[in-house]
Amino acid sequence: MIDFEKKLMNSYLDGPKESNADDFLAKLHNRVSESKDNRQTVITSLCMLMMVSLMTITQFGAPGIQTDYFYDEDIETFFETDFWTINSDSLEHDSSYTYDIAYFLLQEGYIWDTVELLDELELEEEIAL
Amino acid sequence: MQNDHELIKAYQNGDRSAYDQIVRRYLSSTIGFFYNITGNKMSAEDLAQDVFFKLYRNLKDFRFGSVFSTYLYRVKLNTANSWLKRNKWKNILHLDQTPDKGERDTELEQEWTRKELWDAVAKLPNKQRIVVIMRIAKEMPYKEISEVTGMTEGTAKVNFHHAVSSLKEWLNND
Repeated sequence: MIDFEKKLMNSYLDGPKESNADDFLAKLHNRVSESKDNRQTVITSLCMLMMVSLMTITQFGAPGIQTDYFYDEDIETFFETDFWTINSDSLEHDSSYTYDIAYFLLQEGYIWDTVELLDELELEEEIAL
Repeated sequence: MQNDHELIKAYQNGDRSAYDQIVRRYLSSTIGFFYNITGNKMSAEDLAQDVFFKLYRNLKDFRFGSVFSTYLYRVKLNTANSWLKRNKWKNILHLDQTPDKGERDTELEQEWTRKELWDAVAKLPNKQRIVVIMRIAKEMPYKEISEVTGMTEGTAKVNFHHAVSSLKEWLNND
């Protein structure tokens, strides 16, 4: 046991005598600057990823573009509840919708309401002329 | 000539040349330490690079609570420990096919090569491995081992004794 321990202890080696400190330091500084660059790249990438994620998250639940378009057009054309359509004439936009409504009312049996609607339409056309 | 703590203070205040001085001061002892474990100059220099790179990053937080050489020794010990563990897995997975006998195998090592010795050390439990590294690679007295590791001298001796008997069994059976 003691012999073995001695052998173990005798396996100690003196380090290499010639070690170029300048080369070593140059390599070390190179490694340090590489590490700094890598860190910068990682930080930039993370920031970009966060921005994209944030922009994606804020868009959850937002209505689709097509639905928006349809919704705006409908309100403007047929109900005229918005201030920016106050001077526009719905007849200029679409009169077929009114005829559709009249047809629908007829089918549902509201005959007098249909007549009233058509009268109103004709009256508006006369005024427009 | 500035002492270690003065150099560290200068480095913490942004003087990079102070760090270079620290590296120059401890370079040969650090390479020598790893040369004893790897038996290969290139690997020893690579591990020394790891040590000084860790120092570069962590020396800014050095609180002067202990002697710098003890602090440095802990870093070297952790690096050596990681290297041994990594090598152990390489051996298990047979990633290293060619046997590396090191640049210098002394006559005393005819019964086993340096690689076989350190492969066996890698198999030891953590505490025993640390004590063996310090005893063999640095010829460190038990008093200093207890200062670096925080274990008592008695515990260090017991760990070394257990380690030696395990190593004897493993190396003589091979």
